[in-house]
Amino acid sequence: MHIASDRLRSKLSEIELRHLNQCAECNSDYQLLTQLTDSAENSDLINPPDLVWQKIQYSMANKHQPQKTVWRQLSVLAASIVFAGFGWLVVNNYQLQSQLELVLQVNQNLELQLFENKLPSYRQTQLLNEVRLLESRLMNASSTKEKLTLLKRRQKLIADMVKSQQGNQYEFSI
Amino acid sequence: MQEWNDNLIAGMKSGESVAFEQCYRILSPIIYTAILKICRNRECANDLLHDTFLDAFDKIATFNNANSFIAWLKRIAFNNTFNYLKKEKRKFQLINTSEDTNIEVKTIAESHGDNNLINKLMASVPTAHRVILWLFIVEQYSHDEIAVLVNKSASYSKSIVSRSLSKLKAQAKEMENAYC
Repeated sequence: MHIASDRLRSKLSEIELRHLNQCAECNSDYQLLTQLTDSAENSDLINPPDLVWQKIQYSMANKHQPQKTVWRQLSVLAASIVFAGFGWLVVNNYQLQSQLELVLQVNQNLELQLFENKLPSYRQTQLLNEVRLLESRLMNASSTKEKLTLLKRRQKLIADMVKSQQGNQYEFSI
Repeated sequence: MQEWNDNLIAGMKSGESVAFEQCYRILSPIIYTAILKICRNRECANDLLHDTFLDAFDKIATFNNANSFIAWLKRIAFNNTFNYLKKEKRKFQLINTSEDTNIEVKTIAESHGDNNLINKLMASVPTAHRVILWLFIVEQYSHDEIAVLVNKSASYSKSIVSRSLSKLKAQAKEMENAYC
C-alpha cells in the first residue's frame, strides 16, 4: 500500500520513511512533489499592471455613491409626473373649450328660432326673464365648468321657449 | 518594499483609502502570480485580481481578525478563479490553443531541477485541473479542502493529482530516453 499524496507533503513518520526507502513509486512521487513545491517557492512574483489598481479605485468610488443614482432616478420620475400632469391639463382644457363652443352654437340657433315669434306669450316672457338672469350669472362666472353648466341650463330654457312657441301637436290656431 | 502589518486591517475596516492601497500594493503580486499561473491569460488575471480585491474590500467588515488575512484573500481569489473558469470553460479552451499565452514553456528535461517545473506542470494540464494542482502543491490545501472549494469529491482531487504527477514523470522519462 502506498503513502497518500496528502501525507507526502508533510513531515513523514518513521514507518512512512521506511516505506519510502523500499517503494520506488512513492519515492519518486515524494521527490517530484518536493521539487514542485521548491520550484513554486523559488518562482518570482509577478507584479500586476497599474491599471488594475486604477480600476479598483474607480469601482470603489462608484460603489460608495449609490445615493446619487437614487436622487437622479427620483428627479427623473418627478419630472415625468409633472410633464404628464401638464399634458393632462392641456387636453382637459381643450375638451372643455370644444364643449363650450358647441353649446354656444346650439344656443345661437335656438335664439334665432325664438326671435321669429314676434308676440311672446306670458310663459315665454317668464322663460325669457330666466334666460336673462342666467346670462347675468354667466357674465360673472369665473370657471369654465360653471360657465358650461349655466350655458346648458340656458340651452334647456331656450328649447322650452321654442317648444311653447310651436305649441302641442293637438293645438291648432284659429 | 512595504511590509504587511495587522494595523492595515483596522485601517481598512474604518474605511481609510491609504490602508486599502497599501494592502493592495503588498498582497497583489502574490495573488496575481497565483491567478496568472492558473488561468495563463493576462487579461483574465487582471479582471480576477480586480474582482478579488473589490470583493475583499467590500466584505472587510466580516473578516475575523483571528484568521490570516492573506489566507482569507486567497480563498476569495480561488473561489473567483474557479467560478470564472467554470463559466468560461469553452472560451478558455480556445484561448489555450491560441498562441497568445504569456508564460514561457520549456521542455520537461529543461524544467526538471529548475524553478520552472511548476510552470511546466501547469502548462501540461487542462484548465480545470490547474486550480486543483495549484491548491494542492503550492497552497498546501488538503484534498478535503479542495473538494469543498471545487464542489467535487476528495477522491476526484486525489485522482487529478495522481494522474498529473504520473503524466509528468512519464514525460520526463521519455525525454531522458530521447537524450540517451
